[in-house]
Amino acid sequence: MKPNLAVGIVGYGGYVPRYRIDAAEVNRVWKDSAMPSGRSFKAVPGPDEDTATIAIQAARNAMRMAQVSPAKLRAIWFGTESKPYAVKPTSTIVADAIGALPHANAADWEFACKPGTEAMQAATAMVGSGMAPYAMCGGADTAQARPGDILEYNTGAGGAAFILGVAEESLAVLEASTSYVTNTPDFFRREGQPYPSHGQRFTGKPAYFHHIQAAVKELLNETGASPDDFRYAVFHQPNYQFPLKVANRLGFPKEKVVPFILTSQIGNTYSGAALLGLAKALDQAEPGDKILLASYGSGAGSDAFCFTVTDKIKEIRERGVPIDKYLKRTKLIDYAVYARYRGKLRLH
Amino acid sequence: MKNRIEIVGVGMTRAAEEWELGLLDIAIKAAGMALDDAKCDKVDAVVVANALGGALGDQQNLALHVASGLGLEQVETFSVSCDEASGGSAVRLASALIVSGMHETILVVGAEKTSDALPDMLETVRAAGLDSANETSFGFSPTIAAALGMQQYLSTYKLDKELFFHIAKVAHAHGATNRNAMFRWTLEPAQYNKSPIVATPLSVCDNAPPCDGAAALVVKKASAQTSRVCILGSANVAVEKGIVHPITRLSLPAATESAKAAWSESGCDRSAMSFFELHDSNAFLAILSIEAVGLAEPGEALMRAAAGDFHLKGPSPLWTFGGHKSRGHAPGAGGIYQIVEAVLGLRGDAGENQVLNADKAMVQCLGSFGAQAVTHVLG
Amino acid sequence: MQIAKSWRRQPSNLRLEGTRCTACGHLAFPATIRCRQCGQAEFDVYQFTGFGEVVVSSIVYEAPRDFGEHVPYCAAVVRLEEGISIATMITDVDPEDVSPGMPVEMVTRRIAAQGDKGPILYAYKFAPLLENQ
Repeated sequence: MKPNLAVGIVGYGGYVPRYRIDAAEVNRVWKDSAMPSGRSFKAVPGPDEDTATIAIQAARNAMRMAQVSPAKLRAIWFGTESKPYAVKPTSTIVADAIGALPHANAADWEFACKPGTEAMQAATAMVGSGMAPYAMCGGADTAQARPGDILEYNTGAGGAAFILGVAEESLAVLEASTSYVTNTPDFFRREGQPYPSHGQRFTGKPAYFHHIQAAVKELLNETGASPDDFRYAVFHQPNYQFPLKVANRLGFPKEKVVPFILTSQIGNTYSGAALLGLAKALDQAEPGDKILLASYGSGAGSDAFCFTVTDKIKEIRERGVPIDKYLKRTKLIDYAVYARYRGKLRLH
Repeated sequence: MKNRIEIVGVGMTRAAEEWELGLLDIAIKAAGMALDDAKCDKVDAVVVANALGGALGDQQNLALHVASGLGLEQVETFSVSCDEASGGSAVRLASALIVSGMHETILVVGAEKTSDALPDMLETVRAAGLDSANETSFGFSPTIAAALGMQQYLSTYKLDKELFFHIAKVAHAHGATNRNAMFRWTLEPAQYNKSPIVATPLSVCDNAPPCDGAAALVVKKASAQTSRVCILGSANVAVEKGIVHPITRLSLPAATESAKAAWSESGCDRSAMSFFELHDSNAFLAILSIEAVGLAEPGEALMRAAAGDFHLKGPSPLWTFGGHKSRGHAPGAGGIYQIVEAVLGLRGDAGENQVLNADKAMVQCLGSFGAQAVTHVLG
Repeated sequence: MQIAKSWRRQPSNLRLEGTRCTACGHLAFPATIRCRQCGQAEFDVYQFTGFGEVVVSSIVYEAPRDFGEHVPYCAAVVRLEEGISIATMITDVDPEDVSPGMPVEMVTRRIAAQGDKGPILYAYKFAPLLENQ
């Protein structure tokens, strides 16, 4: 899929909370013998943080880099599966905080871990059709996991925001994108339930791998590119192994993928995961580099994108906040503090 | 001195957690004591000071209910709510009604019931006297503001926190002999130092304990040859609100100006005062008050307290019945307690809390973290 | 927490918007409806930069209602670079590491929520400059 007008990224920003818990500390409490013993950390939101505050900071960082007037944003679209309000948009809070209201479309997107890339496709269409000079899209989550569930070992918190505009102003131009979606119930959360349920091994082959592989193959067909043409490849990252494995199956060598797998540092940030990986890749990309992005959302689907980095990247990127800044800002907490910060202790 | 008001009767309940009595009960109890003391069964108006009752979901328009409970018919009633300056403000209103010629004899009551509220709720409601949108909504309270102020005071003047012991010590030394006091014991340094921290550096011992209490006065236009205690001067001054001002400036201009104006009206000055009752809802406002009215130079209140200036036999006796800190802090009633205690001291009826040969006293209460100050000079 | 009350305050809570008097230039935060310096009533919206420094701070252990779940938290007076001092909380730092003169920047946080069912108040707090964290 390609818009009529060439569209690209004119600014981006990420955010990761300060607190970290070690998976080994989670295992000190739950003692799952199947858990690997290596150290792996996940980001934990502070007691005053949630998806809205994470999205706001990512959006502010993107605005700081893009230096466009907030009044020119025609859409503020955030995707999440941890909305602070079940009914009442998170995106209006974000849009208000960056001064983009009222002449804008604001909405929350939901598709498990991939609503941010859906919003990116829609934003591409909005700018690419000439309806809007700029549109913001992004994903943020304070990822939910039932205490003791395998998910709890690495469900993190974080988010990223992207501002799309015309290609001439962009630091990276969108060459094409695809979407591959089926009705596959590998992971879900029922209305009113605090934690998601998942189909264990069913979340692998028929879900994550099938959808990403299909979306990426279609993208390669559409663009005529091969894995060799890409400098970096970013995949949705529910853990460390899945993105490596899917990259291998698609023919992307490890070194093009590993630097953007952030799960061992911040965990799986759900809607933020693939987008934070993309932001990290853009932080180190050079003009001319091609970058592959493939998200995955349970339910299920994958959106794949091909970006080409422009000459403007160095000048624009300098105004932003590198993702590394947040990756290196850490304060380790134990399971008790984590349980308190995540509201797992019943207070009322 | 023209337009003098004389205080013909006083009464007060024990400052305590009065589980058996409600807000209206304690107000009526103190009012009855004042009426009995004045040997008076008829007044023209009832003015009642109360800071928190409405916000705590207790009785509103308290004055009407007090008058009714006392069986006072055909009277004009006013309920006064000016945060912790309610007591002083109620007396100002009563004085104005008398001086204007509208009324001759007025019953002024201050009452507060804090023990029905859980502590966090009480702290929230007490905070409502601050700026509701900018301070209270953000989790600030008078206690947190006082903690910030103490920290700023200590770092500005390069002092040790332990020195604040002397402020609490003075209050407790005097409260120990006050049979109406909530905390009737003297304070030792060890006890002060192990007091739990509420907000650094402020500990429980730096805050006056909230309590239930009511105090009352009967006031009337003074006769030319009266030998009773009179209001010689008074002033109510408000300045720019905001907790940041006392914290960053370490001064209370409202307190300074209010004191000056009251002294000016009374025709005497600080040196003529036999003793002082200042607003010590917390140690920060206590020391700023001390400095604001000139009992210590800026930055020296703690040293003056340590030197013994404020003891009953010292040069500037302060908190003669223990202040809010030891007697107990019934926010809306505090200003009336101060005046009742001063009247006892000036009558020579203060017992073990008597300042020898006392003939004039200065009383001051503060509202909204010192943005408002009401001063009375009595004699 | 009253819904309309916090709604009304969103420009200052979320964007640090105040007013600049068109007559005398007096800056006010939050927005005012009558200039307290000159009495005039016409204003431009003034967006404060959100940078400032800590004047004084305190670690709060006993909090008012709705704030208990955050203790111990850091309360402070912050002087904005425009010269106005405000009472605010400091976040993203261990409270004992906050000291006078520390440069801080505005962040938006969840200030308080009314139980599990009521509205959430989002507003400014301040954090040490990210480059210093």
